Amino acid sequence: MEPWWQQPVSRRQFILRVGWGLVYGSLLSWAMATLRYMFPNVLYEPSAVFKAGLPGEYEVGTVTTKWVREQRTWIIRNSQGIYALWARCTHLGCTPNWFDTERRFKCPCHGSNFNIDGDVIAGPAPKPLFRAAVSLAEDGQLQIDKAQLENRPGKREGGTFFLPYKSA
Amino acid sequence: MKRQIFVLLSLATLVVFLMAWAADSRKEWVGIQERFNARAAKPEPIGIRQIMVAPLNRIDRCTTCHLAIDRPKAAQAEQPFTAHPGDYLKSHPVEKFACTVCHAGQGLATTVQAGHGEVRHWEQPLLRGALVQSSCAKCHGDLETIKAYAPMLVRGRQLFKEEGCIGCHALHGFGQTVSVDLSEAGSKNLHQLDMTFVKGPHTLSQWLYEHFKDPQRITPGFTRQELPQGEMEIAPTAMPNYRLTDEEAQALTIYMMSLTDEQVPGKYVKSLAAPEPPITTENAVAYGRAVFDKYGCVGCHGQNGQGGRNNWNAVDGQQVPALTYVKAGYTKEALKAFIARGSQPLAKLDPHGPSPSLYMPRWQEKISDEELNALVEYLYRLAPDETASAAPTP
Amino acid sequence: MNSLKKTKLWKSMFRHDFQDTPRTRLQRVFGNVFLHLHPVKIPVDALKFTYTWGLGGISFVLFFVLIVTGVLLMFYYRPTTGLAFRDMKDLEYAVTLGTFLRNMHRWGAHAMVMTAILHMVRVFLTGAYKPPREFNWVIGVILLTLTFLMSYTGYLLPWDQLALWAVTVGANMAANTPVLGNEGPFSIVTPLNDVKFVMLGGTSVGEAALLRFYVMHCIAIPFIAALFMAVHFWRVRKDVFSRQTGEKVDVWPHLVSRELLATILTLLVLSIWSLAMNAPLEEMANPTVTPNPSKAPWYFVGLQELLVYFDPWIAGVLMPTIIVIGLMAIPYVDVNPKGVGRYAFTERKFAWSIFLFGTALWFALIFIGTYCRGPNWEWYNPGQTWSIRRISKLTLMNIPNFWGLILLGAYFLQGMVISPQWKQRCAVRLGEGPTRLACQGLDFGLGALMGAALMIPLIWTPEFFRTLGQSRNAPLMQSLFALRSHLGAAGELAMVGIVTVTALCFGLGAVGFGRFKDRLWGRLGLVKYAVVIGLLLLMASVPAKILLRLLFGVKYIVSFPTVSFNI
Repeated sequence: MEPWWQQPVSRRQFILRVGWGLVYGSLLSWAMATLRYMFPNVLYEPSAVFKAGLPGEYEVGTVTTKWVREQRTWIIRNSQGIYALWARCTHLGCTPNWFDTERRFKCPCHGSNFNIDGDVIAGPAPKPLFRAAVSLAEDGQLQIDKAQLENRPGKREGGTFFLPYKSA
Repeated sequence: MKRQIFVLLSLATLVVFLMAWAADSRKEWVGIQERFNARAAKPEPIGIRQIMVAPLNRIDRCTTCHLAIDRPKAAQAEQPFTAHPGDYLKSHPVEKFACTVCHAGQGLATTVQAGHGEVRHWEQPLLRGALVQSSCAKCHGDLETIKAYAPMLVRGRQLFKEEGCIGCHALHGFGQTVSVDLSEAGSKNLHQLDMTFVKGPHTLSQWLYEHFKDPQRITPGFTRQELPQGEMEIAPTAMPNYRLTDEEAQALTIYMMSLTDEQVPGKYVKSLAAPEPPITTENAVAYGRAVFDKYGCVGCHGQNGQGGRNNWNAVDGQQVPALTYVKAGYTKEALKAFIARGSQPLAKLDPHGPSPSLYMPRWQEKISDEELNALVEYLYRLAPDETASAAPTP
Repeated sequence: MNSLKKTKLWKSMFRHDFQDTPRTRLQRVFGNVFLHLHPVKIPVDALKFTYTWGLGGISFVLFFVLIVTGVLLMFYYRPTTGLAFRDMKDLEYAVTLGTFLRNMHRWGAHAMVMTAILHMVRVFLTGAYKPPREFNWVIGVILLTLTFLMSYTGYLLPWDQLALWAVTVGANMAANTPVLGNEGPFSIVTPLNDVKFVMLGGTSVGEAALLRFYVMHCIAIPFIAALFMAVHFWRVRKDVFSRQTGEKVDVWPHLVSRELLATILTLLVLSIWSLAMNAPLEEMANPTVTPNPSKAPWYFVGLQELLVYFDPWIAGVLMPTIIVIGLMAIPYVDVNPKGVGRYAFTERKFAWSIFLFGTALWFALIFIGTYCRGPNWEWYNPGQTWSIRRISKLTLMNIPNFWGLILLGAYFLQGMVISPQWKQRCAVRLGEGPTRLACQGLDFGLGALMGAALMIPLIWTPEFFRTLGQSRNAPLMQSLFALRSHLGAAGELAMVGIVTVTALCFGLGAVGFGRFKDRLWGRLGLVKYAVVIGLLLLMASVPAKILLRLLFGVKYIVSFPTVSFNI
């Protein structure tokens, strides 16, 4: 027997097949539209991007914790510039605390310790803390984008994840 | 035959649905963003943008089209891609204030017309031009501090005082009950307004503006000719026509629009309304003059008590009586008693017509004895000079 | 493909092959859970589109569309007063195809109400409810009621002004339920424990009501409706289709293909409708401001219009209840076996006339409410411009209770019949002729009494006559008043004449009606007669009261305000 696509088709059968093809086409497009519908176009989540004031407001060598409550981010300025750490423990997602006396971030859940660069120095956490992208907005303010994250040494110290800054 | 119908119907269904989908994905804002990208150095991703400010209960999608609103470099671009003029966004960052809290409009909408709120069933259309100044008062209670930024609003409030509106209207617990309380005049619902005679767009601000310009045109009441035989006519609004210039009417409109029922959270409040400065003068007559202004007597009795405001169907020539000769008609005690008690209803000119809408309200609980004494002194001084020489005041 | 068909997997799913043989045609129907509600063969005449118009099936397709679109809409809708309206705006402005989907849901609901009503009309006109299908008609009436309820509960969910006020009016009708509503006659409950309170979960339409309506709309009522639909379809199958003429043909493909076409056509029409017109969304619900006018959804505008003429407990509770029960009673009181399976007016003149009159009345009320009512629910001709400055000065008055009770009593006594047995007994003593005369005399007397009890209080209650005679909304009272004033001394005489003529006309009418009653009684027997004549008089009382209101300015015929009993 011939394969079905080579079998002769009568005119009536052909029309019927076209009709069914269109029906399935409709069903398929409805299904695709439904799938598209399930992807929301707006999010009611806090924006991943926020403005954090002028870079000059940050002091060299300090970890600024004032953004943790609203934005879950530490902003740190060292002698070269500014970077932002996402305050989420890479172990199981708790929010660590900054202890200025020990110069460490310590996680209250399972005791992971991180240094000021975000590297693990104690505890169960498997990888360094993530850094968020830092840039300067047009109005001169720091702009932090938590949608872009990086924690690999070598990558995290450059590109968009580190803003070179020296006060005049 | 049935097979052909089958094919045609299925085809039509598919096509109609694809049309609906296509129309849905080619919304107005998509074209606007593409237009923006065509000239932008760095294209923006196509999509709806929104600013959420929970404390102000705002979700504004205006930045979907106004893409460069917070980019000072775009100051020269044309709408909708221009930057916000002035340096307002420095002190009012969009992340903290969004857009509609100042500009009104429909923040959730994503079409030009609906977003500007200039559609049916949206009660807060975009506050165009100077109208936007009315929003400042939500946080800046002390208007003097923003005089440079909201001159029309400040002018409106000044006029409100000068014209003595408080003599008939109440505002935040101060003032009289002859007419409506204006504490939330800027949040009036459109269903509560008669738009029949409003020439411009049917919005609250337009109603207020035209009403200030000519109250009797907007709220004319009913004449006998319009009513069935034998019915009593309905007086037009008692609100006097103050012959305001366009600018004055607009300033007052802006001030009215600033009296909203919206409550901003405490952390947004920049300053509270400054209390009225106390009357400092020692001179009894000048003190009385200040009392006359403070309680809005001027609203009905006119500058220097010269009268001239119409009062439908009132004896005394359908006018509010002038105060120039109260001295001749009342002893001081009688005058004080009269002011304290008020007079309602007033005598009618045509006994079959409606009661005069303006009347002398009761001041007993609102005015102090000291103020009342000074006021009477002042009123006694209103009489022209020749009588003044006959009976000099102590 | 062929090798695929030989696999065990394929054969486990599809029990038969798809060659077009008589055997597979049967297998396709009874081997398929969805199609097996069909018989395998059906008379060819039953397939005619112009017989069923596909209305029942289209209603079901629409129900299915409503479930699908409804489930999808639920993904973006939260039933709280703070969020519901915002979510509607989101659907309109920020969700892919959100507007289209909402339009489909809204227009689909309207369409389903319409097709369900038309389906019922069709079933009535073709006598398809007659034995053995009486009970399925009852289920159909239940389904129609559920359709109304589904649509009505959904009406609140957008939480705009349209929704809030339509539901507020409906809920206040519930508060007027006799005995169990706090504003109804003979109420034994308070605002905190009556039917409205249970319905809204509070005293006014708010957060609790929105959640309740949401649950009812999305889960409870559709679930109950689906159960009844299953029974409804199963009974269609078990009781056999109503039209049984013509040779029998296979349901697959003849009926199934028609159903497919009807489905696609329905979807097509609904899609075009949804593409062309957006569902309404007004300002956010505001309990302190009522839009003027506020109208119920169209299928309830008839009831809303009825509320103008009757006390709320009659128009809002009693009438709908009687309509539903009356509809259910139809197959049990219709003893005429003729006219099944075709549109046969000549064989069922009485049934057709009454039913079509009732349907037309319902739609006439809807038309008036939709197109003739403007601000303050005042009358405007269709197309006339609304103005809130228009002066109407509506004046209405009650008929004094003494006359009102006589009028009402005489009206409902028109249903009385002297049974043949009694007539025979009388005939034995008095003879045939005098008996007939006495019976006709009684009919005449009652009719005349009714006419007199109507006209006497209108004319000889001085306050009533003067006030309404000088009003602007009672044309007949105005002309009577003008006539009497114009004629001077002879005016009183003219009034007496008018009352006499009215009484005579009513009396003669009653004699004619008496003949009709005797025939009806002879056909139906006591119980069925009582049901039919009761429903008939109630139905006729609706236009009668409307005319009394519109022509004479009568507010109530009988009024006992202390117990909220007003008719």
